[in-house]
Amino acid sequence: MSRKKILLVDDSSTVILMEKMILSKGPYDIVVAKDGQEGVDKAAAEKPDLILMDVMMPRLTGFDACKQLRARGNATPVILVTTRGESENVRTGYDAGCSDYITKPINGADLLAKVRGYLGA
Amino acid sequence: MSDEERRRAASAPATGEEYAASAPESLDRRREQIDAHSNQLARDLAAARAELAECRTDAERLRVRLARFETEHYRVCNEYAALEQQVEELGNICVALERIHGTCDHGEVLAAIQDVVINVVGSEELAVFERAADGFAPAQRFGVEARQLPELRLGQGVLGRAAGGAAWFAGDGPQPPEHADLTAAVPLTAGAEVVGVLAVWRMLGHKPRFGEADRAVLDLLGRHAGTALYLTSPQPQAGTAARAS
Repeated sequence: MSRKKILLVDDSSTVILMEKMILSKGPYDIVVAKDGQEGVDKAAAEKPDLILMDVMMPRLTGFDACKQLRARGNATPVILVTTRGESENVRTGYDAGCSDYITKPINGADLLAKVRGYLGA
Repeated sequence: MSDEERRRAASAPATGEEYAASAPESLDRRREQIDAHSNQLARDLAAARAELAECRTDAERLRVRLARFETEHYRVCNEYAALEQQVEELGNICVALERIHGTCDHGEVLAAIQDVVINVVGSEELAVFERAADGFAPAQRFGVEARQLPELRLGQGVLGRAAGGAAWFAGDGPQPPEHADLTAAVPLTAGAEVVGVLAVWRMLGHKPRFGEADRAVLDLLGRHAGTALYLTSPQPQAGTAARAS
């Protein structure tokens, strides 16, 4: 069975390190982007199976990046990674086309469960 | 009498009169047959009851065994969950260390401290005070306006005592009235020298609580971030930093 590809989009090296460490438990290939614009470009180039996207990033926020992806017809599931768990922020994410969200600090078990939900075990 | 009538007559049960009219020897024989059949039924019933009792005993034994397995399964699951939690906490510590020691640039060390507090501990209100010539001055802040930063005087208040080497965490005694939202005041040390103080205020709203794992990460930052700041300082202040009490 081919490995699934996950695109991590975050300007925080700490978060990227954490996500890589958590996802190393699964059969996933990881691609990294450092901001929203790079995330949109790599989503087109790498064709990941799932995108983990930070919200507050330079050049392009996670919300705007998701809107661009959807406008280009990219239907890859996007999980927002946010420090803001308030419902308003979540609603904004869903309006932008995101599929799901997870709050920081990231809980490894929660992240793996969501990823497996979208990509299978 | 037709063949059909003869067959009906032969299969029809005998009436009481016919029984009464039959020979006594036939009645005795019939009675013996019925008694024997009744005794057999009683023996069969006793055997069935004995088998039922044995099955109930087996069922009870299996139930007890199942309960033991379920208890053991529950214990193993709890142990697994605890180990998973430990692995995650160790992972967070590894990430924090890699960030702090992954750069030789002073500014990047400060940024790394901020990044770790936000993304690993879970607070977006923090400040780093660094040892300066005439005391401690803010060197990095996030989520706190400059004018809101408290003055740090060595030995005075929670932050001042942290500057002297005494860490403070929420839950360590009463909350200081001058810092109602303070969660932690951590001395940043390079060996025995206090080179700075990390102050952390409110946790993110959705974070359940400030726990032991968070305390461990901040303790780690206190030692490693302090060393990294000292070593990457543009003007190392060897011997001039406040000594940890």
